[in-house]
Amino acid sequence: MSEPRRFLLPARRKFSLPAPDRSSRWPAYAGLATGVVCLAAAAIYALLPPPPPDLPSEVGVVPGQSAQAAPRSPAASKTTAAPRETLTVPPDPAVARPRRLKIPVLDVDAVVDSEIVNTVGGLTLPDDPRRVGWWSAGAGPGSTFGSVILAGHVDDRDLGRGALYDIGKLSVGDLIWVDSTAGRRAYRVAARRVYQKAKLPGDVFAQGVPERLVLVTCTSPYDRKTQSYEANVVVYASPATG
Amino acid sequence: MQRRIGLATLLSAVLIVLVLPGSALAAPVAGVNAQDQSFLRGAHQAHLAAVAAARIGLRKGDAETRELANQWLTDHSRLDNQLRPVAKKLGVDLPARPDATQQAMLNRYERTTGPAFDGLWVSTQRQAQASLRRQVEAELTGGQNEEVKTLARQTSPVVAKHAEALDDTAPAVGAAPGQVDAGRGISAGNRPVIAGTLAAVGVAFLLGSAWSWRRRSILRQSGQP
Repeated sequence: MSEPRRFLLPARRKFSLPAPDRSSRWPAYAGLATGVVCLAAAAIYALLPPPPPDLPSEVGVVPGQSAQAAPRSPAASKTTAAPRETLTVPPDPAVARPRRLKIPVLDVDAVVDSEIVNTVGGLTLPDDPRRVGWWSAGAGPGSTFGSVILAGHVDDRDLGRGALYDIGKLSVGDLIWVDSTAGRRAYRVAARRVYQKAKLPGDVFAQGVPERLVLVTCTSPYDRKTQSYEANVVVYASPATG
Repeated sequence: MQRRIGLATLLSAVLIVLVLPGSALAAPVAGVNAQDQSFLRGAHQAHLAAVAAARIGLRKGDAETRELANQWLTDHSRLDNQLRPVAKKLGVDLPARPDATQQAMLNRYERTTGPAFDGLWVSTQRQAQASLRRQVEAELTGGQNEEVKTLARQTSPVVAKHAEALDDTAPAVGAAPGQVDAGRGISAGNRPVIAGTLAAVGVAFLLGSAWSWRRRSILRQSGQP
């Protein structure tokens, strides 16, 4: 019967907590110190400017990119400056208009404003970053060729983060759904690229390629003086088969 | 005889417009389904519109547009020359001119001047080529007549080539966005929540500390150890 005793604590209770000394000052000091540290951290979070989104890396192979190596430098274009005239070209009625963008892995379910008619060579984004714009001069979901281009603001000082805030975190193979007037179309992420904003290649908007979905938003670095982002993150996805 | 055929064609054309829009009336030979007829008519109108657009492009466009326009003129004339005899042989009437939308586009070319012309031309030709490409694909999947499908197969690489040529030209003439300005200032994200929680916890600790201090003072005053 003496067996279980082996597992009891020794008689001398070496490790027992001391009885709380109610007259000690240390709880007050510790509380004060912790409180001050917490308030200081709160002040840092509240006062320092928030960081821009993380700079995404580049992965995958861009679908439909022509073998003629690097896309032609946009420096060759003479008219990328200010848009001169506001000519608009309505989309072809035969082209399916996207309505919703769903990215299950990012928990994104955003409305696509496909009623905005873009000016020639322009891409007008909805003011609300939680909504996404469609380049009406491009293809619609379910066309078997051309780039379906969806773009949105990455975030807004007042309205918070945009629907496309986290697209830099998408991995190759991730599923994206686009609901359009022609039904649902599934795509899988094929590649992710980061371009300096001033050097966004025209190839992003290519219509001579097999169908692909192109998501465009802004990303780091952020210029605090001009209050604008200096790069675009572009995610390319190909129609999911089967 | 010629006149009579001409009159019959005209009459049937009128009937098509009045009675059965978009469907067959000109009694094409057997083995030509509605898709075949629709492709022959649609592609013919697309070629007519492309050739007319090319003529305007040659007259009003800059060097890049003129290069495309020359290509259009050659390719679409050739494709239409291949199409017309097939349509005639199969007894499918062809419209004499581009449709209303295409005509509106051509009128717009005439009205637009200056550097905006090239951007407009490239943007709308992109749509026109995409539209022809859809018709080609519809014919390849839904067509019945082998000769018409052969026409579609001949058209396919040409529209693909034209789409690529447009892709190469679009940025230079301002028909593709040069930049996408997609940020409206950094959002605070979850920082207000973090800051608020930290501040609340900090205040709680300070209050606890004050309470503890006060309690100790009371204990001391009352003479307890």
